[in-house]
Amino acid sequence: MRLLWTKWSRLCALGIASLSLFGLASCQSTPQDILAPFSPAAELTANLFYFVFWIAVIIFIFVEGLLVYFVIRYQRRAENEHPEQYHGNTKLEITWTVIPALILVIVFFLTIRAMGQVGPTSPPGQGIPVRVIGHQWWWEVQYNDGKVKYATDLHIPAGQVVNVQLTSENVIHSFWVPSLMGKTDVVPGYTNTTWLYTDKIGEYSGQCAEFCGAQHANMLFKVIVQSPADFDAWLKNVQTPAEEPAPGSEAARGKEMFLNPKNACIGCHTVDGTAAVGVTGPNLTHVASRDCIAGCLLPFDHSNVVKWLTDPQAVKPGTLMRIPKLTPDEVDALSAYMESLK
Amino acid sequence: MATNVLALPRTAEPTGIMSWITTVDHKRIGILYLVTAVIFFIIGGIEALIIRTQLAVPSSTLVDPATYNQVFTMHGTTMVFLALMPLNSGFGNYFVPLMIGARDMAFPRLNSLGYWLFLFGGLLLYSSFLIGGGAPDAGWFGYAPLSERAYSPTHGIDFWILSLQLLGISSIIGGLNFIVTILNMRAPGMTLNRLPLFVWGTLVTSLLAIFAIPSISVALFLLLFDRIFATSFYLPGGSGDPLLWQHLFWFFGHPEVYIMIMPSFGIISEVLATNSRKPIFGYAAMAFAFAGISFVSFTVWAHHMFAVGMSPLADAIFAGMSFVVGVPTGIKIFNWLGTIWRGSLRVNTAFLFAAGFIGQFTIGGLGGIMLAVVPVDWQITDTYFVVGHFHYTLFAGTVLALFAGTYYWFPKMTGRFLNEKLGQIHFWLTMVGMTMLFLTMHYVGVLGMPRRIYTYGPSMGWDLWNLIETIGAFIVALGVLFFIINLFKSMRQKATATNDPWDGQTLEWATSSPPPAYNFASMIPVNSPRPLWDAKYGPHSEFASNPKKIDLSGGGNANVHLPNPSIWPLVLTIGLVIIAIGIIFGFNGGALALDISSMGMAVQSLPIAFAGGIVVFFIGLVGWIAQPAG
Repeated sequence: MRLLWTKWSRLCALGIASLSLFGLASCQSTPQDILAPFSPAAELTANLFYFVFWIAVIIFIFVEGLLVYFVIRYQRRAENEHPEQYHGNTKLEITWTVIPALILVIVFFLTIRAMGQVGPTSPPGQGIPVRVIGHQWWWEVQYNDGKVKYATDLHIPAGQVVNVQLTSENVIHSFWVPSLMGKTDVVPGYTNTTWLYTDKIGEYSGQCAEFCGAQHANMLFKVIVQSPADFDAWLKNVQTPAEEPAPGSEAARGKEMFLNPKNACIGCHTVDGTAAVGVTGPNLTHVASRDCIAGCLLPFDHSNVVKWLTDPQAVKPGTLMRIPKLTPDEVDALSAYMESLK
Repeated sequence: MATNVLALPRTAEPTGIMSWITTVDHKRIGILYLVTAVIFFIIGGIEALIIRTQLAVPSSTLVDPATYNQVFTMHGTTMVFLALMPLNSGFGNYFVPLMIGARDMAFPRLNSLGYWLFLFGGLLLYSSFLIGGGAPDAGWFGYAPLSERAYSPTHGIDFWILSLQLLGISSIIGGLNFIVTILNMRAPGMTLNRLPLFVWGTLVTSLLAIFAIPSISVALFLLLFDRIFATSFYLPGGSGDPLLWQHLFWFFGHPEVYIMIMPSFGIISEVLATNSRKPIFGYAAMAFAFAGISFVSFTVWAHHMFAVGMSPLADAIFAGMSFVVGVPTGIKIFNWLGTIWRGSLRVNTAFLFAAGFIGQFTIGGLGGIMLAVVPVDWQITDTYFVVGHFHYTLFAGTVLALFAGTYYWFPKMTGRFLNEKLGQIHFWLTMVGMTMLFLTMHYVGVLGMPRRIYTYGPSMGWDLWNLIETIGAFIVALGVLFFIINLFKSMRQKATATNDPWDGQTLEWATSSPPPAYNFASMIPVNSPRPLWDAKYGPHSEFASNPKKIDLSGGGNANVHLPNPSIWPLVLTIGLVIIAIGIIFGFNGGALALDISSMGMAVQSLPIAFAGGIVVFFIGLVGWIAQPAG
């Protein structure tokens, strides 16, 4: 008997501890919380989650409750006590077959209905086409049928459907921005499609969700939902060639270094309007307009650009970004050039 | 009484290390499986602690990503193939022949081969750390193209492929052995509807294994050819398809998870029935549920692929079948509750683990149902929600059941009892630690934490939960430590267990603890799934006045002939291992290829190790065939 009093009090302690922790939790910022939806699709999914979750909780309480009650109630009282040898009960067994089956039929219908409403192949319309390409380990985004190449920040206008085409020429990735939409894998050899639609302006955090190698953990991105006017302005800006740095400025020196083949930049990167036309790495023409770099691992600011250019392997071990060892002065100049590319 | 009794050769149990190497006795092979698997379980557990320590705080630099990716790949591969499956096999090997009243398995030497392939397959896998340029690092499910040579240039994946092939052969022959044994070697009167539920569990598991494992064998061969012979089965550049890997893998992978849980379902039924002094509630439904779950488990594989871009119709079918499999599973849960209802419960450690299993596995199953809701899956697949789900079914499920089975059957196997006080500590540490570790994972998955990431940023809101999980992991490890201490401590006690310390219902409790080499010298009638219970307490029981008098062991030296021990399974295994190493290093100018480019032949190099392995394999095969089975 003493054992079971301990069992009860331990169960209660566990329960109270868990509840208080969940309470604590709701104060933190959680940018990828699937239950904090910012689009109709994510909201419908979150509601469906809650529905099946509460059914599961009720079933669990029922099973666990009976279990704990039986274990306490039916403990052996005498060494040679023999209980009645029930072999089964057909009526009961049929009941507990049919009722779960009925619950599951309902859940199945809700499932296929929701698939029709939020499925990646069921966009609510044809809107702005965007291509998203998975690299190791950064996201490329293309607009206007590939004429505009950008990276890491996916700008979209609020209140318009965005049809997303997903491709990869290396390994499988998965495109996921939980606040807005469920994930769709990016599979080499396939062009998967998904869509985004929200009228809530803001920035939403996304992340690759299919293990893709050394830096899978840091293959992050953002979806930046802007007013249609702001989006148009942004799109117009990124179609202009790169700003020319003022002659004699540090940025101009940085540009020379950037274009110098010994520094290996132009092998991978493009800056529109210059001789740099590499396509292995992100297009840097308007890199300073971005929120973040290095697969969105680092926010874009002077110290982070310096950090990245000084030693990419230290920031993101395994990264395919290569740069020879530069002096701090050289790094500063190159950073100045990057920061000028708005 | 004849004076000229024919003296049969080999009726006594040999001793010494050679006797263990050449043993074909199912009980010894069972113990070899169990001990080896426990060691791999501990290794896999250490790998888990490394993962959890790295993830305890954000932006940790304790473990670099390359190492981390090897550790989590090895953790998954070890736990699935080198711990859980062989632990189930170990109990199956030991107890299936006893529970059906047989002397041994149908194919004793094949049984031994299964063990050696397991051991050497595991050793081959782990040798990748030393000689493979690193362990495999593409995850336990090794998706192409990441697992192809272009993206995984070291030999780690090659070691992974070949060791899984060896382990696959081991499981297939083990499965075949169980099926033939169970169908052909039952005691008189034991029709299939009188099989103990642990035997049912092993039977359906074996059927799953022989049909599912060939799928991963094929998948692995195609990947091997891509890596070594530059084919492109999974590479779109050469008209291949990465999704082909996923379909082949998961066609195996889903039945695989049932392979890991079904024997455990059987163990739970045994422990609950015995410790309740009641029959299992709804035996027929339980047996049908085993069959139903097995059949349906082959129809759900692509629920692991809801996000890859299959058609909505395909998604719907796989979701529907995934819901269907919940019904027979639910039946089992309710029938277990019905078993303990109004029972006379002996709440010892074995019972605690078995009862704990009921509630905990329910959580795992309900999480599975949530994952089958396709739009919800699109949010929570590839997150820690899935990691929490499968650790519930596998740890809070299979491992709890294996612990229950250990406390339950330890006296039968060793004649000694595991210490109950240490057992209770083990149980409670496990329950608390496991909940902190795996329940929390569901939550952090809902907060958007993907799986298989070596670190995460401090502004994601995941910090507290990861820390709780890590603390939980160390509590679980502490529980395992108590368990190991208990094992060692108990082996040093005197062997005091009687034949039937738990007032059992099935035949293993009718012979000595441990059983003699030949298991039974005589047999009792079998008229129900509970032959021993009937013999003790049934209306026609001849032992009603003294149930403890039943002893079918014949005193331990009955004149029963035993199968010959054999070295050939080990020789054959070594041949296969040399073949495996010869494949890894014998092509593409590898270290074990003989360079004959200067001889002007059509080929540039000869894979000599590969050829040598084939020779050793054939020596083993011929020796085996030539040796009389006895």
